[in-house]
Amino acid sequence: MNLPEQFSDLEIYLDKWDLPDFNSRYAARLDSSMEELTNFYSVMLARADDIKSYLDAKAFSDYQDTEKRLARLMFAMGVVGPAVDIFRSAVVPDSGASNFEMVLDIELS
Amino acid sequence: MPKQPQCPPEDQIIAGGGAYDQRHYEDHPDLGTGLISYEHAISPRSFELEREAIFRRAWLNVGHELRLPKVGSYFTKEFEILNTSIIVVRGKDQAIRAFHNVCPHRGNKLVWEDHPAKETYGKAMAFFCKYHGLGFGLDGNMEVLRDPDNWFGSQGCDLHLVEVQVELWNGYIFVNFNPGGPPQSLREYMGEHIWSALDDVPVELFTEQVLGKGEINSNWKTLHDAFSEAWHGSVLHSETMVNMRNVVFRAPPSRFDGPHRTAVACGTVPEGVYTFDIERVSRSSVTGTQIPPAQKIDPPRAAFGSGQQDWVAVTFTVFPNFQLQIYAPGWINTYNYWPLAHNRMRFEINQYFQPARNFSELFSQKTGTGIVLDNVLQDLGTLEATQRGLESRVYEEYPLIDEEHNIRHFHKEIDKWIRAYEEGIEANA
Repeated sequence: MNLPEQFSDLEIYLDKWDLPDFNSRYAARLDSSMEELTNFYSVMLARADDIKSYLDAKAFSDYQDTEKRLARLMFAMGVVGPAVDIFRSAVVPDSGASNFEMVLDIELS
Repeated sequence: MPKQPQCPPEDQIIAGGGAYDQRHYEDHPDLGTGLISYEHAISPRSFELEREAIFRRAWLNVGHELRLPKVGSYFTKEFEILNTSIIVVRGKDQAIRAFHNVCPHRGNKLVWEDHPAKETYGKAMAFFCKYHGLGFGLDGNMEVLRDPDNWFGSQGCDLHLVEVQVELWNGYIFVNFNPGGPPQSLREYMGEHIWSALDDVPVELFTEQVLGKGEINSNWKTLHDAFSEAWHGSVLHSETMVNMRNVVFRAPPSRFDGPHRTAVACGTVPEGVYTFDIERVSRSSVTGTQIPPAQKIDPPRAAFGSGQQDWVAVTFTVFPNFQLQIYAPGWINTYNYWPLAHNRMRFEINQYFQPARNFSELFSQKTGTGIVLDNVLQDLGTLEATQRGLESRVYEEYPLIDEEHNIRHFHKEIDKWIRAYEEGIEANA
């Protein structure tokens, strides 16, 4: 069991989107087609309220590995969302000359 | 007495902006209304002048003491414009010190990993030179002298790192490279208004930190300029601010204290009017998380006076290259702009949050950070376009509109500091 049982249908996304940090999530976003991003995002979006309710019921310190994976899928969805919803492009328009790297971030331990 | 920002009446406020009808130049007549030269953003000679006139004299922020949680916690910081690097470290006595990151035996860079140009961080009880193994304590003194019989007299034992002046402001670490020591304490340098600006903000609760950085081919001042006016927001970021496309942003006049500045954004970003699903589901937007933290933040009095209820953000700018923003309902954002050459810079963004109480709050913080960063990437990309345009020298001077009064103030101070250096006087007297 890789995810809490009621979210086991999302396991197909773990290979690509269970990533440890912002930099790897952003790299995966840039490495994906819009079709792939839209599919992942829309499926996650439909489940997001349920996932939030489920995870909110537990303290971070009580998270099992399955719950940490589910949380990381949501964090990936948070990085993909702006590409699908706002920019309609994996790459932010007119950002070709810029680059960015996260040095410290808040992640579940 | 500098004039305090004054928010417009509530019925004139548009989300994030304000139909402000007062003209800034009337509040700040000394700034003038003339054309501005950007020669200092495109000339290598200006870069050399700024090295001595500004970056070797001003107090410079290098981050927050959250990065140094324990005795021996350290980070290195590169100052390309000063051709140096420093180690910032928490000592055994808990004091934070900074040292030039150079071994005094043959000049090797002391602390680095992988590539000497890269910054690094970690925890150590002594700093050992990778070259010949000499070890220096957290107080900078020689601690491990290798092959002691081989040294002449006390030349080995006497080695110690060169200390750089450090002072703290609400946990934010500032250093000063002034030869002969800083002419002013950090408090004198900031002035009482900025020094006390966070007195009613519970900064000690913002213990969660995000740090990112990037490099771009533009002069450091052009990014400062971009982040000192909101006029570009609804145009450059039209995808994000889709519901503000027709809004002409007008900020209330800023408050100037010497070279430093207090700027405000009035209005509200009401919950429930998100444009996009990702904003709704994460309760965050281009102004970050909209979930009030465990301890809600009141509008800082130093920016809004008392009685102000509706606010979006306040920006305190500490000359030359540090901006601290507090966003409603309660998170903190800082920017640092570091010159690498006249036409290249490094940009740092730090965000500070109160610890998330549950998953939804953490998701909101992290998604908000991502939306902010996507928009920052647009700002950064545009700056190379600006640099290329400026370097064409097609125009000698440029008009700044009334709304761009913060930029006018900044450039006036840059000119003033360079003139003071050339005349051998103190710029911030």
